[in-house]
Amino acid sequence: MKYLKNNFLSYVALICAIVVLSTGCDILSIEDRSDPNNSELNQIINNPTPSDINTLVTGTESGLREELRIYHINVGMIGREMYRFLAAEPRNTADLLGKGNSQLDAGSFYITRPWASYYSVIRNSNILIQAAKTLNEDGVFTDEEYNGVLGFAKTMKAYQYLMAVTLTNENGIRIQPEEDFSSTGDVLSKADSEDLIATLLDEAATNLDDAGDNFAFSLSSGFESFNTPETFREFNRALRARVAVYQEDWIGALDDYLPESFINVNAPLGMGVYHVYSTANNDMLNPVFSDPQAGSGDSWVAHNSWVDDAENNDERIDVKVVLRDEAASLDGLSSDYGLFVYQNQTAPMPIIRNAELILIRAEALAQRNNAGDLDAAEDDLNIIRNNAGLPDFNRGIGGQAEVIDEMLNQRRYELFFEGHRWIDMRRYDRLDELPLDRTEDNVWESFPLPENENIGS
Amino acid sequence: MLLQRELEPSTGFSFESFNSGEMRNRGVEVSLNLQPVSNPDFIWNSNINFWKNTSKVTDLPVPAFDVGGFGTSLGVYRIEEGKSATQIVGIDPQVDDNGNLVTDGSGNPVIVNKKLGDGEPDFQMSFGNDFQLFKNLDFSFLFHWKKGGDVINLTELLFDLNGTTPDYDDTDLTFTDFRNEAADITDDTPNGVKRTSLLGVSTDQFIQDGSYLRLREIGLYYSIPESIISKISEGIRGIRFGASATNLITISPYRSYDSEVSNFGNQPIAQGIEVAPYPSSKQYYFHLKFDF
Repeated sequence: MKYLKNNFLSYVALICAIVVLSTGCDILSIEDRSDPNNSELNQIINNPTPSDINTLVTGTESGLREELRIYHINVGMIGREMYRFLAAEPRNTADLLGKGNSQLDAGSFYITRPWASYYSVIRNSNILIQAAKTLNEDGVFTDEEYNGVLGFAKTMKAYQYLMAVTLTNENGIRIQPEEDFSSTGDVLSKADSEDLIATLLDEAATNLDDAGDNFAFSLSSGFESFNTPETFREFNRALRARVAVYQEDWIGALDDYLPESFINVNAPLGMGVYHVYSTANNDMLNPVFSDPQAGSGDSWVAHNSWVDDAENNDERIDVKVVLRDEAASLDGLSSDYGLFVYQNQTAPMPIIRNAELILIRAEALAQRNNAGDLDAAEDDLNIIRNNAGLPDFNRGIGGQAEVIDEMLNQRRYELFFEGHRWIDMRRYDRLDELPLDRTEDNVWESFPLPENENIGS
Repeated sequence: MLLQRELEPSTGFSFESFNSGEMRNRGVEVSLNLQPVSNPDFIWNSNINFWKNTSKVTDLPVPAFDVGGFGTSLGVYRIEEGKSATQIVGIDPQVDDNGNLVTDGSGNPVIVNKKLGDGEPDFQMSFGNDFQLFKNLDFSFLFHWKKGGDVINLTELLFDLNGTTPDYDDTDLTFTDFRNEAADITDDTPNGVKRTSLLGVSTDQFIQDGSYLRLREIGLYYSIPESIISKISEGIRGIRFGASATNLITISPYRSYDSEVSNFGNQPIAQGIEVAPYPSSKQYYFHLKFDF
């Protein structure tokens, strides 16, 4: 009996072996399954709810704030507005300032991290578009609600592409396919990148025209007064005006975009759209706020030239920097002024504000230079100047060149450490006028595309 | 291989976990146990281990990707087909076939990525010995020798930037001519200035030999003979006391605290990246043991 039983078992084992071998490993493999704890991508695309849309919008807006710290270090340092001294991170003062023979490295954090963050928001926006499309097809979203989502998502995409191309400049950006979620697209030239951004903003504006009176989602307090399709469109047009001057489309800026933006010479210069921060759980703090008197080894300080070159009695100086008790120095660089543009850890950070729009108008007027344009540009510049306690600017016997110089000067002081100086000097081909602090420093024009984009491999 | 790889970030996603690619590990482990002396008054046990391993990524269906480090200019571990799984890649000036520096149109050096080191040691050995003298006295020690295996030494960089490296003003450290030329330095430049001038030009100065010979354990114990114990108390069966220590002596050419520790923990691939972590501590123990 025992013998028979063993024999039986070996038959069973043999049959099992045959089954396993003949079916391959399938009966042993584990199926991919969806994440039980989080929403899954396919679920959001194919079967979204209106509350998913709200979550995606909140996530998209929140994502805009990622890596702004690095962005501001990059453009602030290369534009010689400030230094970020961090004893443990030599690349800030070496690579970014072109110390000696050092160069910008395509594999380092200063480009890889902001870039990844922009494209993650762009992907979020693309997912948002697909999800809203499904809801519209299912009859849950009206056409107006759908257009509202499109207007928001395309504006966000355009804004993030714009941030990317301000860093990579002549190296261009990559277009992200809207529907194929795991792929990436072609590298565009700088001109094509700016065209893409302009087109996206214009499409968004058209969508916003047909989006009814209210959005089907809510925005943070950073969009206060810009959270309906009509007012959000003013924000969209403001960004479009910025893109227009980058493209040197002065007429477009003056005739088409600025008039539809929120530009208002009677409103506070700070009116606009902001990134907001809070101490709430899982929220973020202003990433560039710091104690202006912090020790050299971990400090945010202004470039001395910003204070030295200022006009007498410019009230912006005392507001935006603090004279340090002790100068900060690192790596052969030194500063006497701590940065105080953001005065507490929840201070909001502008995306675009009234002052920039007024300066954009001054620029476009000065560049168009029709009869009366220089006077009108002067008026705009004087709004900015008077606000800072400065007397009127008068070009006197000067002409267009003087007005443009003053426009760049007011941009330098009014938009200090808001990410503009480097881009402005680059646009006007004046990077060689930026002060170099060490004999072998360089001013970079463009960041390389990140190495992990595997371009050309 | 189960790998987590970086995606092109412009897809909007950072990482993808996937099961693909093949890797080959070839290694040997040899162990030798000896008892050279064995008589009642002296027993000597000796244990020698030798091991080495080389790995190669034989198939990788995706482009090469980085698995650890602070960016190429400071050295990264890169998984790449046909290369060792523990290769360290960094930036370096480009050279032509004759070893001369290649410059671009404006006379600046052309900086390229290349393999500059490998975290895998050439081999490792341990040498453990136990001696028992007169039945009661035990003495043991264990040496560990790691030969080769590069470490990315960023601790030295931090000291260099603050001018406090012990060899900052020495000039004994030399680099190849093309690196000197690219960084505008000569063999007479102080070591600290050499290394900081190479920052952003080459990663070679950070990638250093992590070899060491370490006295990992040493101990001496004495067991009081039973004949004495039985006179003291009938309840106690044995008394043993002694002293031991770990990591007492380290001999290494490595120019920082400890080539064995890493900021990313002791993980299989990206282990030797050192930015001033706490070194392995020396520890001393005193032992007193009663058996009842």
